[in-house]
Amino acid sequence: MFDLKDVLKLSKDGKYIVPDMSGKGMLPYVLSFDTHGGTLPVTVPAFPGQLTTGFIGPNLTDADTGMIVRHVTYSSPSTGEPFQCTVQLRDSNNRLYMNNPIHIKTWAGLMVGGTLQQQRGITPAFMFEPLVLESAHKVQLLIAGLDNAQETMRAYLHGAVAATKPGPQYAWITKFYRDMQARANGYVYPYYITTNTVPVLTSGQTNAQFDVKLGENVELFSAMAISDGDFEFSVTEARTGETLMNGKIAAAAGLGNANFPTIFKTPYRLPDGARLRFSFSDLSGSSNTIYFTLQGRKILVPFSKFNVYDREFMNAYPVPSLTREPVGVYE
Amino acid sequence: MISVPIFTKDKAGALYLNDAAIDVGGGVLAPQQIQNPLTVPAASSASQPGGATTVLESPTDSYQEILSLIANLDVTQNVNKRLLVEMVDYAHSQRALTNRPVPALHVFGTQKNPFFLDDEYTQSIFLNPQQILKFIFTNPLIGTDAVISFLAESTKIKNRAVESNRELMKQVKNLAFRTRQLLPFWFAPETNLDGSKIIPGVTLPANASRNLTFYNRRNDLTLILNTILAHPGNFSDATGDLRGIAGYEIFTPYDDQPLQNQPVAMDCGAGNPAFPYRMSTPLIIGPNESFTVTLSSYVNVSVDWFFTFHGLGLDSKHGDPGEWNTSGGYQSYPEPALLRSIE
Repeated sequence: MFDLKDVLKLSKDGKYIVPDMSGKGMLPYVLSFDTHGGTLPVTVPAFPGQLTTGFIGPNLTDADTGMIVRHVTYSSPSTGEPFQCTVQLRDSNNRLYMNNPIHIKTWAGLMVGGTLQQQRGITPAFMFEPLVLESAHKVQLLIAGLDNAQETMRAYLHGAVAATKPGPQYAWITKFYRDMQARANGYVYPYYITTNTVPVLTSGQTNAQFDVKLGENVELFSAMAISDGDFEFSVTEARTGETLMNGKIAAAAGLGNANFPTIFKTPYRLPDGARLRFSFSDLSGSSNTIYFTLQGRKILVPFSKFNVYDREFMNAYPVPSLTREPVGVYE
Repeated sequence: MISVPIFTKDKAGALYLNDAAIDVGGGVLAPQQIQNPLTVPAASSASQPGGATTVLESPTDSYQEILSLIANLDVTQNVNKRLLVEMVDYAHSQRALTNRPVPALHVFGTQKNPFFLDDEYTQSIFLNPQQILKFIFTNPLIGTDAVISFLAESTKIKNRAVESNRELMKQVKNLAFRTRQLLPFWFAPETNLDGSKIIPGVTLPANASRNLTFYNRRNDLTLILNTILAHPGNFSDATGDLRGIAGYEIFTPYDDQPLQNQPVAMDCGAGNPAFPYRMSTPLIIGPNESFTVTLSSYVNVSVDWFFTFHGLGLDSKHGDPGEWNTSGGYQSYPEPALLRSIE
């Protein structure tokens, strides 16, 4: 998101670097729960209680362009281990950003590298596809506690807002927002995928399978998991049998969390109608609850040549290149 | 960052090791006192802090691009939490890389997680042969000496390679051009801890708020701030772990617009050099501009807070840069093709 080109440029004679003050048109912004959701920290009831709160797009003076969200963090002021919960985002158009509630440690970054009285650091969870939160629009967050006691928490969305209305003098901001809003309104938005039910493996259980059917084209960038103990897993596209890995891999070696996710060097792309099959085997030797999350984005536009993946996914459509161009026609 | 391909081809397409690659490699710059860690003596009174000065000097036979800073500071020691440092870059007209002494804990990373200066958020430090980066340490704590070992990781570029390799010469010229105006910058508040004119920070009484004023007093420096670093001083509380023991609110220069809808807890929006908190987009502060940060305590005890911004400084005081050459001439007009990262 941040690019020096937006705030620096060369002078006309090429001898100096000069500030491009249009860069001041974009400001950092941190958004927490709508104050109607309660003064921070909010209290999340004990399992199976739920708290519904939300974020409202900021509305700065002279600007109503909303916010581009890139990072997420959370903390719990409670003592002991940071509490655990699941979260699910839903916007005012009833659009879900997760197919099911996901574990908060696979959505938001947590403080690292320090405890009481120590210097502490934070590695916010990065959203590969930014969330566009239009001014005064609300995104609802459903928080479900997993602990046996109520806990308090804070959560923040970190991003940027325009300090001024887009205009000719802020050409790059205008372009940036137009692009972002078009994406948000039309064809692409961040999306998280998890299993439809939370896998709870018995000691030593192998090959527990969980299927997830995808409604639209999806592009995935990272994988994360939070579990009681170690496990091994594989991911397969069930219709074609295409696998993401050539065998089961141990979660300890292959999965991070929101702070340090396992990033796919090349995005994992799946077409509309694909069916992901997750297979888990316990390695911990005791009951093992697994929250597995893939992060990416939904893409609502079709492929330019749908026959490419129809052929791949064995749909009923004929393959045009074979039916229309029989061998020998170009003699 | 200077980089040289390790392989090269001749006109016939045969593959060779690149001569220049031998002369460009990793380096470490340490102060002379590294054999015996630098001791910064204790303050004799609240108004007379202890001090010690040392330098990092590039060797006679090479240029150095400093990429990260590392120190062995124990973060649990009160003296280290209050140890301050100023950096002066003698390679560039003795310019300061801080607006005033800043906490050493906001400058140095750890061996495992150095504070990198070569990413898109900040700027590396480029030293010509035999030029120095000066570190001025201040210890405001009475009765306790501070002991610090530190070093800088760098890329070492031998003079002979720069003189003989045209491509490398272009890269060095470009880097010299950038670093002539761009510098890494640490920006501490004008506000001082209670009873001190030395330590930038604030004493937050229990459940109270205090303002920090950040004032860019230079009329030739634009700041592009994108990193927030903070840590609390020592405190005692019977409840044990206190996460998010304070929150901050940033307000824009001139119109005081808040850049958050609720205070941001420190453990969600402030980091350290090992794990710095990067803002999604920078806050740009022009010459002579100031802005306010309000800190709010969430706990029933008084806590000292140290809060620093880090980012890039754009120094516009230099005149015509003149020609750069390897025999002492300093700056150059850039090769246009090499400035793609800025243009």
